Amino acid sequence: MGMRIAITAAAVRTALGEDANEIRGRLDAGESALGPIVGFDASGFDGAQAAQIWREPETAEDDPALRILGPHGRLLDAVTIEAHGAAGLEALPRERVGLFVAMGMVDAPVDDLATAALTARDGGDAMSLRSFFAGAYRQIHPLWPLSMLNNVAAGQIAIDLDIRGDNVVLASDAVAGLRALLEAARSIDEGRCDAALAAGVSGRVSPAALARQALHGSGHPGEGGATLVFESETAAHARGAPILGYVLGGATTFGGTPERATAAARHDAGLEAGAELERAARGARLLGDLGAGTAASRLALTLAGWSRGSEGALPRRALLSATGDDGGHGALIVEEAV
Amino acid sequence: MPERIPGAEGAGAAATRVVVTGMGMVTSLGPDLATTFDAMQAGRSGVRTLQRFDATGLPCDIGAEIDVDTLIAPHPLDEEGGSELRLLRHAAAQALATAPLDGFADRTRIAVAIGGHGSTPTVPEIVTTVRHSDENRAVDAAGLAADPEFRPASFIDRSPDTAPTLFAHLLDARGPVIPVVSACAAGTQAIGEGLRLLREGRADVVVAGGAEPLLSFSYYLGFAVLGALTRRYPSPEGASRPFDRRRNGFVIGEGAGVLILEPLEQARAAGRPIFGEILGYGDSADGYQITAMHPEANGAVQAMRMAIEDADLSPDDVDYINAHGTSTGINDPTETKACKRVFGERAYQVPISSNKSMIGHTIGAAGAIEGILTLEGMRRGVMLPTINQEAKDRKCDLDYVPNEARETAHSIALSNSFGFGGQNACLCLGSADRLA
Repeated sequence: MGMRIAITAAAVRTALGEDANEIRGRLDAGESALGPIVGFDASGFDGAQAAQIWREPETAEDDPALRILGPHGRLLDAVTIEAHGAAGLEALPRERVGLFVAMGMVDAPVDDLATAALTARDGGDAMSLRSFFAGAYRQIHPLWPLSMLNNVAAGQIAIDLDIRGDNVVLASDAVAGLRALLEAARSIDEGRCDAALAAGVSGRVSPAALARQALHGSGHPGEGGATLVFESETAAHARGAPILGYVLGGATTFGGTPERATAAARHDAGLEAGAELERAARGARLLGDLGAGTAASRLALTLAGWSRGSEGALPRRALLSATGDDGGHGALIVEEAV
Repeated sequence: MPERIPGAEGAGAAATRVVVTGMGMVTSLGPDLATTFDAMQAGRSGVRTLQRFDATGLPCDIGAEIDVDTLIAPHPLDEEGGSELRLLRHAAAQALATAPLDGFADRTRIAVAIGGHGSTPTVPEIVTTVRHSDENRAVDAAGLAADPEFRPASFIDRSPDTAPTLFAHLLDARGPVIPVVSACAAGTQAIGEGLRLLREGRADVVVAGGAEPLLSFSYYLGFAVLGALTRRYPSPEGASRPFDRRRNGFVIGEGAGVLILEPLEQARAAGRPIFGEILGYGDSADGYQITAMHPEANGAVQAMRMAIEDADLSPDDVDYINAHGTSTGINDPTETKACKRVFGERAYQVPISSNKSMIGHTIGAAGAIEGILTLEGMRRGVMLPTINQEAKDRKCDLDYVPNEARETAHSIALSNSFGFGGQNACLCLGSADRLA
């Protein structure tokens, strides 16, 4: 990275709350967000627990935004609007504000098809394709297909915030989450954007997510996401924006070991191999596996932890690492603002 | 300064010129680039009545399907990577024939950037799910999991990063893997991300492209329900008619395109053939509506201008435009407006044509396929036509290379991709002749 990238705002939502300081405090107290799964019958999954942000079912029939975004898309929208507002980016040219999103799994909402498919049953328990196409399919809401597209939430955020710069959507695991942060930082480093919104959100906890989790042998799923605002240090100072921390560098790799990604990140940050780094967002596993939302959430919570006051003369540095479902690794190095 | 770490991103590089040393594709018109290009030069259409499933009753029953029998042999990993992985492997086999990766000893310097969306539920999977649903649409997850017809891998291959990462695994590529999921802009954004990786010294070679096995039940149904597909057409071949007054929706196509990108000097030193240059890249967000382009084409204009500026060129340098050209009521006049805003009066002198008139809209693969066809067109000195141009639309009054290919030398081109959802991307491409 050619420059230190300033972080000027952060917003986060997890099952432990909607405020970074509150979540940080609850994690520090050892509180876990994991609990029994609500919203669907998960009894078929042995010992299934999750960290859900459960809401009562919403009536989506008349609200296009609810129809097309899904719960995690709406969560992403909310945290990004909050971060954008907190950073006070409204005065920047909208073409120079970018959005880099890591989107958790967007599963095709099969249950939306169920009503039509059930109507087209052939008398037994199978579906008649001919009956389905002959008319049953018309029961499907016309906006249903949009909820299958991974990029729609990012498009909706661009509309809501009236931002027109880079709009990149990556999918769908923890490394994608870290890469979104890195790509956002690079867009500042290379002068493509004046400000970059770096965001990540988990998939929703669903039967499909539980099945995927079981097949990968990974931990308990969680729901959550976060958005951070990156700018050049000079630009942040020029407009009087408070700086919460800095991104020094990072890297992602495929295959190999996490240590290789860390070494590459250290190099990108211009750090010697022995430079001391703390582990970012200790205890964050109590929030469940946030997948694509992991890196952004952990960065927001690391900043919240640091905001409680510096411990020494030197700014603290932390290593944020990520390992994907598929053998990918990522590392990001951040520094406290003092 | 610390030692340079193999595989380190951000290692830094001076302005690196990025060239294409391998290209491969599969479309409804053929299993490779040469066959596809020849067919398109002859103005043939790959659109047919659907064979994959019976769509009788839907308002549209056509598509640009790939003949799976012409594809590379199945691989065990296709079980998890789905058709998307098979399409990628097929296209990559052609690209790697001229640019094999064997010579790259440091596999951490090989990156992969792929546009796509993963698979969608098949009819049997939906039927299985429905079997375990009650009248209130609640799914009995335990019953579903215990059903012998339930396919656990379906939860894996739906993830959009599965095929790109398995593809990287098969290539033994250990650098960054970037799965881009921005609908119709994904293939172009993947190439753009590859360009940035190379310019910034974060990789020595990038395998970039896109794949989209769209003619699945769920995707097809989804676009039909949305009303995006053409509903009235004289024949399947005559259905996709970008810029023509009688257009009324797009035709879904499936396909894949893969390019090998690497720095110019490296390609020259290795003696690999050079098919063209990625000169510049621009991307933007419309920030207007999810289902419609900005009426003044603001996002499209921004992406096109960025690509030209990134190439350090001016609009006067551009010889040809490979259009997004979807055959929808909104896209085509809006894209025409974008060209007029970028090129001014000169827009009438810059030929622009749509490959989608012949191979349909391949969504996440479109940018990669169309980028390759643009490079091949410059190499052959041929501008591919927009077929089915019969009725003039007064809002679409540019030179769309109507109905017949045009043999003419050209050396700088744009390739547009404007995404469903508002993402826009544009590549500025140069011919290999310019490098001589």
